[in-house]
Amino acid sequence: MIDTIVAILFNALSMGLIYGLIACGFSLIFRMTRVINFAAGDLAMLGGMIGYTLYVTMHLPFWLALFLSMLATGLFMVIMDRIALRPAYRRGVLAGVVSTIGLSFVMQNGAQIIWGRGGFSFPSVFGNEVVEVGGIRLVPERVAISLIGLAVTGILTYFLMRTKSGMAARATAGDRETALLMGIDVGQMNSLSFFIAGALGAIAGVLAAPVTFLTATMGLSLAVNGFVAALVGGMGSLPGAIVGGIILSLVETAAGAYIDANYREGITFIALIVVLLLRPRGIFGEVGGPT
Amino acid sequence: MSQSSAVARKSAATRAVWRSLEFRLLVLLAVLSLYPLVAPGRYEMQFADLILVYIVIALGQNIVLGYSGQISIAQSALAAIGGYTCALLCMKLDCPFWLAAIISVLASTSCAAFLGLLTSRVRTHYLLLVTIGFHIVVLLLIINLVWLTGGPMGLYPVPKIRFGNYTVLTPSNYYYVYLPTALLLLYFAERIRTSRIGLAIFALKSNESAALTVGVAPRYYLTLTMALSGFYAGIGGVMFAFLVGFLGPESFGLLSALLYIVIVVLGGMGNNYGVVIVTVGLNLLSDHLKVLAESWVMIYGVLIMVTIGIAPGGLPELATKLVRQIFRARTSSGGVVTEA
Repeated sequence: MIDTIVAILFNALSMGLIYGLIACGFSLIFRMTRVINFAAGDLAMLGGMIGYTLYVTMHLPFWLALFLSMLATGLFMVIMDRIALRPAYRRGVLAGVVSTIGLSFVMQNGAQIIWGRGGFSFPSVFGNEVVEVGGIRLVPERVAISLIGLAVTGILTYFLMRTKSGMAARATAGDRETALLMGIDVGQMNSLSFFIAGALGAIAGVLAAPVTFLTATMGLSLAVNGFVAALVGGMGSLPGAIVGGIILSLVETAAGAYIDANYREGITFIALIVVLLLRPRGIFGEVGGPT
Repeated sequence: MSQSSAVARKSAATRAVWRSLEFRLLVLLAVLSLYPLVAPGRYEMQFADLILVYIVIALGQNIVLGYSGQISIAQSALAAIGGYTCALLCMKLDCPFWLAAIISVLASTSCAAFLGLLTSRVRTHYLLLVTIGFHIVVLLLIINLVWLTGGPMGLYPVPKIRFGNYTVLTPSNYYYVYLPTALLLLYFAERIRTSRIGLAIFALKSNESAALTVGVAPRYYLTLTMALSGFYAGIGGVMFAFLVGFLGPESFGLLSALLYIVIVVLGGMGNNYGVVIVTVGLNLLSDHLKVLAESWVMIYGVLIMVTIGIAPGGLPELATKLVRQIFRARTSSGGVVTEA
């Protein structure tokens, strides 16, 4: 009994952290620009695809492939921000959101053209055979995903809370004009947020790839889960994003086990409605903060 | 002015008639109803009918996205609700068409109103997310309720439209039913735009606090715009079902939902004529350039990003800008200023 619960917990935790990472990237961009990044899931797809090419096709070591994929996806996001998104969200949030929908189209179709319409199954990196540790049976893959996810969250939190650039980024998100007066390079901070969002997406994509199937159109369902995780946790709150992801994943796992597995995706929607009705600002959403 | 004022008044009155929306749309109706006489074949006729269906659904998207500036992706799902409800009522319960159509449009309208009500407390992004979720749930229901909807295999044959003893059979028959419907709905959308309701909705979009101070209640109007978009989507869904005769989940995919957003953005958010022209244009283009089928979605994406970035008024704004530019270049080089 106890080992089933632990196994389920690790399953939920690993998936939840993946949603949480996407939600974090999403929250960062939201805090900076008030724009809902519709392409958040496609970033994970791009990261996963690049990771696949580097790791499977080019036989690079896993960590190097992960790092390069983060770098590439982050840079892609920065470039996209500069040439396409920035002119749009300067005209208002609505234009910004619509522009990210366009970006999502471009990324999906572009990936289909580059990597084909079929999918890839990403080989398991840490092993998906059940290993027994002290009487508890664990899947190394899930444990590794959970640990990496937690580590990344820790590093990100440290970066934003303790380092100078992180504080500058938060200041810019809080009040652009004042940050500018304090001598912070606002444009650079903007790019930094987009870079981090891209890199987080790439990690999520590479981690999710062995668990799910890698296709050019996988982004949307990841994005939807990421959005809901961010909303459940409270828009713009990073710990909220991670907690939201884990809650969502627990609900999903439970629903998949006890209700009809066919309707699993619909559960996300029900969860969203419940949150909207009970606590529109989410769990960690500040009063008077963004709605 | 100092001459016969009666003549002036009369000519002003005739000009008003000429310029009136009703007159223009009637002319359009008269001109467009000649199309079946010159249409090359059955395929083109059917294609024209389909475009009319898309126009109706896109007009609904324009009300919610263009008028009120809220992003809803539910348009396809709402059309699916309309289409499936109507087809099922006619096929399984032998309901007369008019009754089934009314019930199904009511169903899609009330679903949309519910979504609007749910999200009207909070802004833009909640509607976006809730409507994505709604889309997913509706598609899941269509795919999984096999006993009712036929699941992934689809629902067929949807009967032809019947009014009493008359059955609408050929594509050109359909054209004569759908063309007036589409134009009527266009008229309705234009009337809403210039009515008090439309003004209130546009006011909310441009400055919510200012709108609040003059007594515009956001919750009411946002719910209303969603309901209207559901109304249009429902009618479009019914039209689609009875024209094509087949309903499947792939007809209402997320991509088609996003395409209505493309259309409204390119048409210039809130510009009904722009939306109609872009719908026709995009359909014709994608029909003719099948070579590019692989990358259509990408082209749409680039078009959205470019349009939003340089001309939020969509292609109409882009076109007027271009014309003005050319005009200015001419006048400056020729030195002839022709001010009307």
